[in-house]
Parts: sequence; structure tokens; C-alpha cells
Amino acid sequence: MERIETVPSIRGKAKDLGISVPNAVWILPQNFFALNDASGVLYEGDYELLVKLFRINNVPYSLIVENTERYDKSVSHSLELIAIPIIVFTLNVLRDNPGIVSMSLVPLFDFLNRRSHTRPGGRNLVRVTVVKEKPHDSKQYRYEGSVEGFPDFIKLVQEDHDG
Amino acid sequence: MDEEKVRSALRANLRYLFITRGRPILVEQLSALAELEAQIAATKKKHISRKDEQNANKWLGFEELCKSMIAGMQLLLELKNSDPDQAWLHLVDAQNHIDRSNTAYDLNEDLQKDLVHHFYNMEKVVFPPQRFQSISTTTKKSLCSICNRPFHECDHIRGEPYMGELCSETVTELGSANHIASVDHPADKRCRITHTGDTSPPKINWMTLEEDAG
Repeated sequence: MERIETVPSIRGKAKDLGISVPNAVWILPQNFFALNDASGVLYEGDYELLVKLFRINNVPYSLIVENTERYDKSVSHSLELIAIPIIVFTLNVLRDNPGIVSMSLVPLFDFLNRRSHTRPGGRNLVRVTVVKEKPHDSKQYRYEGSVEGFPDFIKLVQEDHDG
Repeated sequence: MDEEKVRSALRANLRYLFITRGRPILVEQLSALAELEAQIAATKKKHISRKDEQNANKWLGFEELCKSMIAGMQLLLELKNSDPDQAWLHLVDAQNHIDRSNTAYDLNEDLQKDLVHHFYNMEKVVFPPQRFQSISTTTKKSLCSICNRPFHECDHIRGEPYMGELCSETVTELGSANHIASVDHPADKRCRITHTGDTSPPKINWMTLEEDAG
């Protein structure tokens, strides 16, 4: 299932929190929009997975705070749903690197696809939230579904230029 | 150790993983599998010492597959002992080991897929539906089992194979407890509701529906 919606400006929220928007793929905690100050940052248990996949695949990325001393390491409630943080493609990174969406999401798909082979009974579900920054607001894409359907979602995010 | 011999020995063992098999036969096969596991581990070690990562991971795949079958035999023996709670723990082990085998190396072996479904089906058919719990905490520090560095600093990915070993994360400093949730598909199937009833005994065992004094 895919859901697309317009969300408040990432840049405005960042300004409120006193942090600057990086020139890289921004990995934000799921509680970003609910934050009142940057000290409340709480990354999901699997944020390192994304960081490592990006690092290995030379995807330029940035965390909200570089020295993440406090992050949620919750045991994933669902074995099949990896707790992935919000993946934000900022205006600058989209302009400088038009292929950044597939460059970032394809390694994630490859990883999930490899892992999903051992999950019987329809337990190969993925839940991912992606935000593309626009000049005045941001567009949020949510995917919850099978690993097999994830490439179509990547294509949708990649090709959706006008929202 | 000869790879084909291992493959055929493991394949041959699948026929014993049924509750109708006699106890002496299961005990005998369990012992044979334990011996096979030791031989597989020795072969894996040889590849590790040669720094042959591909073969080290392949033999890790065999090792985990063998462990899965061992846990499966133990599961059946505990069922024959009328101890479904212990049997459940072995079932979870069996599922975890075959999961690790698949992650470690694609052995191009139907047995890897067959066992995934075999133990999944056993969970659904042999045991009643379970109610699982999952705990959420914050963690301050954790280390990588492969390189022993802080987990967020290295490039090793949890669950992936590296030179015959699967990467895991060891928490060295826990933060605070966040919440406990009831879930359908937990990360750890051992975290389940085992009894129902009042806080004082006797309680009803979820597996047997019998009263347990403890």
C-alpha cells in the first residue's frame, strides 16, 4: 500500500529546532515532526542498518545529530517490519544528484529481498517512509507491503517530479 | 569433510522430523546429527584458518542447517515427554537456525527452504496460537560481535555472515525501559504468555490448558 501526502516544510521544522538541513540524504527519526527540541531525538533500533547500507554504497547521508548517544534500540515489534527511520531527500541533494533516490533505495531493497526469502506465511512485509523536499513544503511517501512491491514504490518516488 | 556427503546426510535426516517417529530412532538420529555438526564445524574452522570467506560462510550455512535439525529432533522428543513448553523453545531454536542458515549462504539446496516451511507449519499445526510480548528499551552502548567496535561505527550488518560468523550486536549499556507491547510477529518468539489466571497459583498453562501449581 502506498500513501502520498503533503507534509509541513522539513526546512521550517529544522529551523524551529535550530538545526541546519544537510546537503545529503537526511536520516530522520520517526518522531522528528513531534520534536520540540533536538535533545529529544530518538532513533529507531534499525537506524544503523540504513547508515551502514548507505556508507557501504557511498550514499551521502547525514544524521540529525552526528554523535547519537541516545537512540531507541527497541526490539523490533514485528520480525518482518524493520524499524527504518525517515529517509529525506533534500532539495539540494535532489538537484545535485538526480539518481539519488534509486542509489539510496535499491541497496535497501536488495537487503530486504535477500532477507525475505526465509520468511514464510507472508511475513516479508516492509514499511518505509520517504520524504522529498519541495521549495515550500515536503511530500511524504509511505510504503507498507511486500518486498516484491518495493521496486514499484522506488520508481514512484523517483519519477514523481511535480508534486 | 566431503560436501556431497554432508548434503546427503542432512537430506536423509528430514524423514525423521515427524512426531510419529519412534523415540529410540529420534535419539539415535540426534546423536548422529551432533557428530555431523562437530565435523561440519571442524571443516568450517579449516576454511576460516585459510581465510577462505566464501567456504567459511558456506559451511556456516551447513552448520546452522544441522543445528536446526538437531533442535527439530529435540522438539519432537520434548513433545513425546509431554513438555510442550520446552518443545516450543526448541521450535524457536529450529526456526532461528534455519533462518541463519539461509542468511549465511544460499546452499542451492531445497532442504533450506523445506525446513523453513516444515518448522513454520509445525508451529501452526502442532501448537495452539500464541500471544507474544515485545519489550522496547533505549540502549546507550552496544558492540559489534565481529570487530568488537561500537556497533554504529563499523560497517558490519547485524545478521550478515563474515568469515563463518553471523554478525550480532551486544548491548553493553542499557538505557531506560520504554514500553511492553502485545504483538503478533515478535522478534523473539520465546517472549510469550505462558499462563493465564490470577496472580496466585494455580494458573492455567497456555499450552496444555491444565492447572500448574507453580
